[in-house]
Amino acid sequence: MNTITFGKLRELTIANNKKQTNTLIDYFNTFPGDNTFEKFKSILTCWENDVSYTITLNINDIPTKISLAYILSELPPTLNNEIVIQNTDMKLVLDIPKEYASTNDIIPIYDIIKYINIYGVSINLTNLSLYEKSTIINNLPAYSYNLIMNSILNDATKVVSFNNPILSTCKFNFLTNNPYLFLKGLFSNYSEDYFRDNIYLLSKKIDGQLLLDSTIQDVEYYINKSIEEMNAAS
Amino acid sequence: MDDNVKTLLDKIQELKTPLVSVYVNPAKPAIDCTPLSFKQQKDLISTVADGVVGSLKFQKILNGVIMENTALEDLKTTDRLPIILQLRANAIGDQIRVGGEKGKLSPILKKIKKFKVVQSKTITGDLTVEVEVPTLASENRIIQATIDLLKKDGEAEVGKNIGNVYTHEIVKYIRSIKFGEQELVFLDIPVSDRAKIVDNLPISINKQIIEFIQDIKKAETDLLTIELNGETKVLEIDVGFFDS
Repeated sequence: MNTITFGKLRELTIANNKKQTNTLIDYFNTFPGDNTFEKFKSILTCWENDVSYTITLNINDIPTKISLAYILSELPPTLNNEIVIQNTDMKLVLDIPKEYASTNDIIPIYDIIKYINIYGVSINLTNLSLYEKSTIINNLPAYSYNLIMNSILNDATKVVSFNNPILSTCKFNFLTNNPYLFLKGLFSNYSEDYFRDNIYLLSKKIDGQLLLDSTIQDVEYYINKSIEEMNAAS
Repeated sequence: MDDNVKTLLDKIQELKTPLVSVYVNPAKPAIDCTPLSFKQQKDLISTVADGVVGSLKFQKILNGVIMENTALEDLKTTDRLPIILQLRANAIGDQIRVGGEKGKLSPILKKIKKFKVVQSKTITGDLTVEVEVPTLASENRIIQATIDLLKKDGEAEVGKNIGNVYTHEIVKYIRSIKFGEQELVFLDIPVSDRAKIVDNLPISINKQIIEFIQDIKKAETDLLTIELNGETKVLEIDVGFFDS
């Protein structure tokens, strides 16, 4: 099981500030799971264990604390049913991407098309390189783009929503980049000053490597202890 | 590349044939054109997220699609509408949405053979200005210069941006300016210099250039005008045209 350590979060925060997007994507892909949905759950589980029991969401412009235990309890075990698009010429199968990928597109189209059959010739795109996938997909007829987009917009099986009315506007569509952007936001919550301040404060008491290997939950505990000590001394 | 990938690409090519025959000029034979591809459709629709720059990118991509699919570099911007209407009908079908209502493209397609636009004009005054309908390739160079300028100024500079777009729209149509014995051929000078010249042209000259452009826009609007549920509506050629 992965651990989101103080040191790792610091490293990711610095990389994020330098716009090194791939560092974060590569890190997300180290989490267990056969697709981005399962990885998403693993990441949130680790966040709950190592960083915080709650996350703050901006709901109707009001920052609202939500328990991660609740969010995780609402995530289904799998989102495994593929989406099949079929007409007389062609059959396409769409599914959640296996891994997070660097793209500026809202919909990571080259990662969600898993299978194509045209005039009886079929190919599984899952294990092809991005170059091969994009060469095939880019040459498909234009109407297939609209077919795919309509399927994504109208299909609810890859969308996770929540029963709690407070979260009625909060939805994750795992055929889009929306879950990745949510995780990116989560990992952007800490400033470099947070790490500087805590290293300065705690390195006098705790070995540097031990501090970097600690979780944020541990670090918050050390800080509280430290403050208690300072208060008792004054 | 894997053999299986190659076989599939061959099959995809089969889907792309036969070529679409598109009419551009009533006096000339139809042009063979490859149908719109997935990537072209994706690129056109993706411009929706780019704000002011997005509409310029859309126009540039549209021109690029026409040049690529016809393999012709000398097509004029007045050829764009007839070609793209026919390509869209071939790729996505006859159904369109105009102002939120469902309609058909076929009545517009029937008007293409009657679509005629004056291609050039000489404007005289203190200066002699030759105006003409630009080629798609030359328009794309000017669009790119406009995009670069808008990005440099930032989208917040609304007034400046509108001014820049307006100036560059005029720049597109000027072939040359004669003053005395000298002639300045616009294609020979950088777009930024052309824009500076346009900004300093006498108002009377600018007005006549705009009239030339407006005549073209009117012919295009007439082509795109349809009767829908008893109302006269104009089809917009934007992202929604390819999205519906």
